[in-house]
Amino acid sequence: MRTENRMVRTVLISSVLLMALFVIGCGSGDQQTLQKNYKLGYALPALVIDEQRSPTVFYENRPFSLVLTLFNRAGYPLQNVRVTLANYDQTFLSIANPQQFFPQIEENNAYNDDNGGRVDMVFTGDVLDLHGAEERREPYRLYASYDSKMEFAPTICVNAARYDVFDAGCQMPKSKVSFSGQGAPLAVTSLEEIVLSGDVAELELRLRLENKGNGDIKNIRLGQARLGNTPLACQFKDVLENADKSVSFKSNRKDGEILCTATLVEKSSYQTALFIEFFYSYELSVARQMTIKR
Amino acid sequence: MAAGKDDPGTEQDVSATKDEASATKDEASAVRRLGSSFRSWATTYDRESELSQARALKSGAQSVGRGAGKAVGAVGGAVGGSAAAVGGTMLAGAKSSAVMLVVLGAIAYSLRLLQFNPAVLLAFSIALFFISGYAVAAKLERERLAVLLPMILFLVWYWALDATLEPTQLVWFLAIAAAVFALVGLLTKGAALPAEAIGFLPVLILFLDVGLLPFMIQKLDLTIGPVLEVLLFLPWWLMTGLLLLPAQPTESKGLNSVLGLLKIVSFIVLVLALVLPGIPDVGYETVKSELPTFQELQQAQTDVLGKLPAGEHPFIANMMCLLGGDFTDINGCVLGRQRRSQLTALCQKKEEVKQKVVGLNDCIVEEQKKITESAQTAGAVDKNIHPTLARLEIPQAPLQYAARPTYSATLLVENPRLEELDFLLNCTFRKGSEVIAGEVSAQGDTGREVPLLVKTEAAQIPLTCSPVQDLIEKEKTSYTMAIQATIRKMKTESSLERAFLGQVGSAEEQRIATQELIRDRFSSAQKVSSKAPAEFARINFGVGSPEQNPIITSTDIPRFVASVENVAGGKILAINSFSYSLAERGFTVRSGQQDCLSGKELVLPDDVPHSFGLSTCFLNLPGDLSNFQGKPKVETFFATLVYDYSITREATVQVQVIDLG
Repeated sequence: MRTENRMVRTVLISSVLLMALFVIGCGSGDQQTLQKNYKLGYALPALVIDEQRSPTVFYENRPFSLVLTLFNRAGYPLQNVRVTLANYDQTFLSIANPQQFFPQIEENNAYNDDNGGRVDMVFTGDVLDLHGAEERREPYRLYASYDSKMEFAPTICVNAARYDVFDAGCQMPKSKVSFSGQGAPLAVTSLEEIVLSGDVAELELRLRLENKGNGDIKNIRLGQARLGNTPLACQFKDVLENADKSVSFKSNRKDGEILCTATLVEKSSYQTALFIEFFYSYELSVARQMTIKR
Repeated sequence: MAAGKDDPGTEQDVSATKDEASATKDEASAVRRLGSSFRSWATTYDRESELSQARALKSGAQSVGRGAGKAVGAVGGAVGGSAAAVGGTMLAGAKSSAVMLVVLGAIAYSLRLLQFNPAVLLAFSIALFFISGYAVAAKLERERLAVLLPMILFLVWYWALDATLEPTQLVWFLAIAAAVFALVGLLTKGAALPAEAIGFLPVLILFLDVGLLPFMIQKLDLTIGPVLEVLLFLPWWLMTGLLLLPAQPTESKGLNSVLGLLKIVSFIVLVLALVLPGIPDVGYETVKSELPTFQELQQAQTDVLGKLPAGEHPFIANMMCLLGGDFTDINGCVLGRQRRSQLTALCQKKEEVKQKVVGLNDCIVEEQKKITESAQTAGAVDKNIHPTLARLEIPQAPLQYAARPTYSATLLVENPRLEELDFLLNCTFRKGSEVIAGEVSAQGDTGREVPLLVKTEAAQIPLTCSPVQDLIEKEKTSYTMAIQATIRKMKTESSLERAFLGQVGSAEEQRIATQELIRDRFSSAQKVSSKAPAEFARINFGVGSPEQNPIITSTDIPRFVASVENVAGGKILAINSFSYSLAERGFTVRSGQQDCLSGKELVLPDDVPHSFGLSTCFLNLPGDLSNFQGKPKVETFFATLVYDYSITREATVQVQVIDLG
């Protein structure tokens, strides 16, 4: 009996020690990496010229090259990436490959550095005759255009009750709630929940959408929009929709409003996941200048 | 009693009694007769001292009482008479010298417009310099002689010290000048300081008159705009005279108002002349030659005057427009008047007008039509291309006694682009309407026309000029020697940058692309215009809709305008050819002059205007600049002008032939 008890005790102690070992062993990983959410903030892609390998002074009748990198700091992959060297004077510069295409650039994630996914490229060409000038300042512009997406997925509280009564559920915000980006230049910056009471309660979500980057949003298309499992009917306010249900943003327009509605069946308050997906085309540009000397 | 108005105290005395007033009048007129004498002017201070003593005496006597009033009044009247006389002297001095300045200034200005002998003009200017000093001093009450101090010191520095800027000499001179100024100031207990300061006014006017402003414009290479054009050749002495006239110079109120208005205008113009050119430091090569000599100043003025198109003088045009009440568009009015006067001058020279085959008005209308048909466009200087420069320098020559005197000169050439510059040199001697051909010697060649090839980056070519025939003047005679250097087949290339949008998507995308292009490449008016090095002449051209618009869309029908502009002080003698790179780039003429894009030889009239139209037409874009997708294309186009250009330098030389036989 005593021997049995001793065995049981030994097994229990061993089990506890073994479990403790597992727990300790598993818990010593990179907690920060695991916790980082790349779909937060206004993550902006960046076009960076490699200054060491791309001098700013070039010489007449000599070849030249520009080395640059497009970093994707956004939390979503970039598709159909086009980088173009443009607005240069073709009389003085001949560029072999003024436009370069990349099908995809990886999103910022745990497996790349803080600059996110990247693609390196080189533009090569020749500096032509200066027609007697001693030197010339030649401005040019680098454009990067791509397609990408942004997901807005907060957990919100919904309360269809006609009056604000305590029902032990959650508290629906009484005013706009601000958001600080979803890991892309395009961001939902505020959300307002309005319950329209009637025979059937309806929830209206007013979302403010802003371009927080320096580039231009060419167009935006709404993807999936769900409140829990209920599909949302969404539309842009004050913007004309294109045939493909996308909307084009004018360059000087930096923000817009979207209205989404859903019928509420549940009468008491509850928390649920909101998910709205935006697909957009974006173009950013950098103005540069090189000096051409004889 | 104009005399009294300048001196209220005196006026009170003068009006004391009728007798006194009449005595005053007599005395004043007597002194007025002497007013222009320098002697009486110089002694005015002593009289004034007596006057102030008498004033003190009078005021003391007046306080004694009414009984003595009559006697004292008589004394006061006498003193008042003297005071009025002195006031009269002052006023007469000021007025007569100011009037003299106005009259002589007008004559000097007319002579300058007629391009009279520069030596005479210089003498005139110096005479007016002293008259203005007198007039300025006459405005002062005390220590008038001190006005001469800065004037004389300036002349000493300018002529005796050869306008030195050499630090040691300058420090010594300034120290002595300061000591003299201080000494005079101390001796007069500071009373001479205003006179010393005001003495700088004649110095300033002398400089303005002999051409400091045009010299600065030449040295600084400032563009002669309409405002500067007006300021360049103003009747400075006349204006100074107007400024120095007394408040009520005549009995007529109307005339006084006009003179008052002219005074205000003169004052504004003087201020503008000092402010507008914004004269910064000029980077001269040596300390010695930093300041222009009078000869240089006059030469500069002659050169700049030569640059201005013939016709109504801008000053007159401005005045006429102002008087005509066309205040809304003074600029347009001036340009219109000048254009018309240029056309009138051009037509008056035409044989058919002279022989009355064609009426003057018909000729003007016809010429106007030609100008409007050949539109012109603006151009800018390309600072990235070093300009080719050439100038002639003629040193001051002493009086020569030989029948065939020889004068030296230097042709200075800067040829940074190492082009082969083909010069042809010649010279002439002119006296009135008589022109004597000259013979040039340069680099071992002698002849009436000497060719000279310059291939080096810089060259200083000494040359001489002498008349081909014996001069016979036994008396000292002045000739205007003109040396001309003609550059043959000089080539100047202009460039023009334009951006093509092609089939850039939506209107919004076009708008963004245009915005970016303007921001990056066409942010200033200069970047929109065609550019050429700052040398002799150039083609200005533009393409676009309108031609100043640097952004061309695929649907545009761009207009092409080209004109020739003479940007230096010489003369375009011939245009051998001109061409544009647009034709070889694939542009074709859509409408207008069919030979618009092709180069050709151009026959120029005798009186070649400062700028004139070459070609105007509408173009078709080449396919690759209109039908393309993607980002805009930027290209530069070129226009080449091959021309003969002459630069002329004139100098006055003096000859007195002595027959040694």
